[in-house]
Amino acid sequence: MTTLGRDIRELREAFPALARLRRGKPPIYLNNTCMTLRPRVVIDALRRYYEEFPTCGGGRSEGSRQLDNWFQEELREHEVHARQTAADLLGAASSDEIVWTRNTSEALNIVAHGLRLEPGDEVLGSEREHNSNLVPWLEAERRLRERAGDPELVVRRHFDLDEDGGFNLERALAAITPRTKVLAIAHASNLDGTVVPDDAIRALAARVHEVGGVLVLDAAQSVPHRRVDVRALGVDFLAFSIHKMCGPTGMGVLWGRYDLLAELDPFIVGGDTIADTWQDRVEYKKPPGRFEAGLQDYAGMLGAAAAIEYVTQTVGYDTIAAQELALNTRLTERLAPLTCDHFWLLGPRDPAQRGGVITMTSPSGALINAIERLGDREANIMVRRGMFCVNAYLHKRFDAVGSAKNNLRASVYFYNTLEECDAFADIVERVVRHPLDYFDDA
Amino acid sequence: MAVSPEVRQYYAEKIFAAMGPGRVPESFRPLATPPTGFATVEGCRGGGKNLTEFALIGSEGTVLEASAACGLCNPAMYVAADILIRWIRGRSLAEILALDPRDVSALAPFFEALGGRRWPDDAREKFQYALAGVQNAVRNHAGEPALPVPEFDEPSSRDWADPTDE
Repeated sequence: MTTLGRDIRELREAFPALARLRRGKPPIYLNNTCMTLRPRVVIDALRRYYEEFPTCGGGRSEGSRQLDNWFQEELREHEVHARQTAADLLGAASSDEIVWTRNTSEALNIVAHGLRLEPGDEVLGSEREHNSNLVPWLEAERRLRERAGDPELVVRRHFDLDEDGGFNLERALAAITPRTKVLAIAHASNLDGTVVPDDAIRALAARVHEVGGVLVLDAAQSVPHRRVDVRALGVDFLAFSIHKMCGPTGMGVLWGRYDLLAELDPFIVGGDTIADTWQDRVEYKKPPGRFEAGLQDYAGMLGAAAAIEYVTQTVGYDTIAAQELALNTRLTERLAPLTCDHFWLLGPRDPAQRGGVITMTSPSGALINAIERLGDREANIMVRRGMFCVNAYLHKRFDAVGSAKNNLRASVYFYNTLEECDAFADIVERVVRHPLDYFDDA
Repeated sequence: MAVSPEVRQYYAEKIFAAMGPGRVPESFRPLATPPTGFATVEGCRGGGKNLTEFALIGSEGTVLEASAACGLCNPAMYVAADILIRWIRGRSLAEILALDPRDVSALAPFFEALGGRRWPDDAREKFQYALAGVQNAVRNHAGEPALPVPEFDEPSSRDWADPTDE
């Protein structure tokens, strides 16, 4: 169990959930694209807040109260540290560019609601955006249609990917027009793991800036796996979720270039977002405070900082990349040969292009269901089935061939092992080679 | 959930064998034009969202074309949806709505379409849910509100006794 000379067992020991047993067997957790497991250091950070200084915070950059009691002083120190840790992770110019959110979805909603779009402006994305990076823009379209009194007004447009799901820079660049005010794309796909290369991001940022637009990067599936530097990429907004990188549930980050955050209208408002109020008006705080309404998840902030430090320092992106490649290579070598009329893989064949994700599909939901059920029952394997919040893409591509809804995704992280991949592949192989024998497991 | 021999055979021969890249069993192919009637029904109890969708294109009094869709993880629901879709095509709306999905004896034609003499209990329950779904799609086409879908008895998972033998 080694990668790059490191003992993965040592890393696994940090995760209490991996020590659990059911029917005498440990879990095989292959649903990391959705949410990762948490190491003890993160759990300890959460507990520390509740045990040591469980009070309301307010360590924001502007308009914050002077905190003068014991617990608040300690909390403030940790709040400031957590925000700076997130800023350092992304190469942000300042911790004031970091907005805490519940998740990527909330972060993208803040941007979609806050940008001052006008009828005639357009929002561009790929055909394969997660619902979190599609629905907020469809809502923006609905609002603009109402404003314009034009129910046919098109605001959100998309460009096509390659046939195998790979990113096509030429098509993306060609789709940017003088009307494009927002280019909102995923950095890495949660469906098949394909990544938009950094050079492509930079080229897209340059082009969209030429026409006066902004680039919004959905980095939910990239920040947990590789170094992402917002300034080197030239993006304007970026969103990701801490719970996909060993952090607590319900913690996410919106990063925005400060001058753009300052122009963004606040989305959810109320307590802690304001500098002052009167009976007839409000003066909002500067960013990031104006975007963080109400008392916050302070324990989550401590957990977020612990998770970021754990992933980037204790584990390291090099280890993550090497382990994911090794694991996905094994899965691909085992599963690709099983391709048949009732089973095939989505995305590029080369595992190096798919991060830690491998997604299987079938026209038969019963076959997919049998793999999931058998894996759970016999080997405690946890994977994800369904449409993975990319319904629009799957409908567009696969409705006509009847396989849009029957997908199964296995996604690995640094703590997974080759043995776990083999255990999963064994189950898949049994079912795919003799599907009619496993109906009873569907 | 164990699968009865009748469902297993029908699914293998008429549904699974017709699947492949670009090959969709006829009853599950998307309609060429937007449906005039649509309904969903819960109850497939597969591993997905527990929803089966029924879409149809109808005239004033007849179903012209119909299709089923969903994850369809449950072989018995596949079979029920397939048989029901075949049955309603070209059939009058009044005839489809005349059946009572709670009345098992009304399901006889569907059991016969399974090709066996026995009435497997897994198919019984799925036929009931599928019929309720199809009928609501017909009501939707006719501009009528959908009726609540009853809770049908769950199938016995191992006992495939023929009710006609009792």
